[in-house]
Amino acid sequence: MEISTADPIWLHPGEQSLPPSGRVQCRELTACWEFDHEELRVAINPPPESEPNWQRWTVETEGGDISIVPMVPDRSVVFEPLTRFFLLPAQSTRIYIEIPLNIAFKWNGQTLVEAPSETLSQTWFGEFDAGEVCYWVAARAHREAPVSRDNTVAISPLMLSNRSDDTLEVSRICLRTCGLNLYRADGVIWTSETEVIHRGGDAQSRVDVVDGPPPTLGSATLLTSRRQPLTRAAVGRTFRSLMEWTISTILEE
Amino acid sequence: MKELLDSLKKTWGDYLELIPEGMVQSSIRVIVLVFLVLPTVIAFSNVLRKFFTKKFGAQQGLVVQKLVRYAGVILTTMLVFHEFGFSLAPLLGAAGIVGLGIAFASQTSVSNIISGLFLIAERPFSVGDAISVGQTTGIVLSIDTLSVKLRTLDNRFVRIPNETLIQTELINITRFPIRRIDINVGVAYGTDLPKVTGLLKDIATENPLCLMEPAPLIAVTGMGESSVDYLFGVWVVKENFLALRNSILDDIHTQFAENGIEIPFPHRSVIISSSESELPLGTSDTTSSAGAAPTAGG
Repeated sequence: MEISTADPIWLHPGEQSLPPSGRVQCRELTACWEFDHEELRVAINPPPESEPNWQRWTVETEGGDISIVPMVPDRSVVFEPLTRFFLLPAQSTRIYIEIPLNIAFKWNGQTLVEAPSETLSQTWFGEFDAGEVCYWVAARAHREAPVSRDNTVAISPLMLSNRSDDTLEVSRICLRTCGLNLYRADGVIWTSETEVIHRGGDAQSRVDVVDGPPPTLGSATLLTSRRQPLTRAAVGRTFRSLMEWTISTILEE
Repeated sequence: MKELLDSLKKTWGDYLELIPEGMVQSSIRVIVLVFLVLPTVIAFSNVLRKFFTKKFGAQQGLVVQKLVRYAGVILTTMLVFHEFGFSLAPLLGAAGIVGLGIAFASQTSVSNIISGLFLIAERPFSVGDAISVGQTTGIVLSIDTLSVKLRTLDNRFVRIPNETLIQTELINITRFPIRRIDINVGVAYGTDLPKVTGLLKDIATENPLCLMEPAPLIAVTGMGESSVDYLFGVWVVKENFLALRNSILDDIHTQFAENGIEIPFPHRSVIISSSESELPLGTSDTTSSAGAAPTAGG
């Protein structure tokens, strides 16, 4: 069985199960699976003309469902708008970001293997001595929700508010994707909406994830729950200063 | 205790009569100290180590464990001696005199102990860090009173005195979460330099292990004998250091070859001649291409 990204491959446990063997192609990801004789095999990005490097699981024959579900990336995503924009004091705006998703093979709801549908570059968010590794996405920040029926991309609404006295330059946004749910509405995958309030100076931004589907949607079905709740520790700066890095570059010269 | 003695008397009465009563009590206390108190102290020190490791780090956990364990063992030993009738006063006095003598005789050890205290206070590294001291690089196994123990990358055990660590330049390789890999690349004279810069940027962008920020450093560092020299610095999460170093060198080699950018390398001409004939030496007007294939004459 061949499935491409155009097919509705995202399944709920119990809604529809995959056939015993098949192959799925999502962007840069190719995944094959086979299930026979109480053994389930999954191979991610198998070499084109040789035997796949199977990962194997022994499972019971009866009552099992193989499914593929979308997952938010396993790390936060640093988003660089292709066109930088500014937010004046006391202003708010809602933007929409497209985030490439991971896909997970599940057996009766248990994740067997998970892989990104697109290999994203990594970046560092923080200072030289402390911070976190994030994925890097450079793309357009949409003012209107883009019409995307790509099953490997989620549209993430972001409500930005500038509560400081200074104009906010939005050149980087760190999106804590692990705290976002995934929803499906009209064949489009959405994440929960994130609200970011910038207070200026060295103060950390206040980041909140809105419960439920994005308010702009009429109705939506929950596809995947968040990986972990957004904790206080996970909420750091969202719009970063690169002061120390600039100094470092000057010293290097 | 009395009940225990009565019970023992009932069972072993005949034999116990041969032993003075005080000695039986002392023996029981010694047994309790050695087989109950001592293991409890050791177990307690292990619990404390776990707690402090979780709370403050592996190094602090190790120090607390050793302090409690040594104190417990010394105290238990003194109590055992006391039970056997040794007076502790002369023992401590003697220990003081002996200690003074030892201190004079072992200044290096004392220096190591004090250096160890500084190391613990200053915390230039912790257990589990990778450090380089002189020619030695390894993972810190323990920070002890006299020395620091390392496991080198080829699995050898190295003991470095604390005093050496205080006096020598020490590099903590894993202190910070990200590192920069500096690669020196030379390109032949006549190469389109903006093209080289663009290619290096692309190489960094397309390698998934290379961090986008901090941005890669690309700088012309000088005009060498046969090449224009570049410094190409890419940032990586410390865990991926080796993987990126290998892959980025491979990327540079492939990309430069595909784009016709020549990496110069030193040439050596081997001239084979007999002792009778003159060496065919001469001057040439043309500057040999740096990337030309090595030639052999004779």
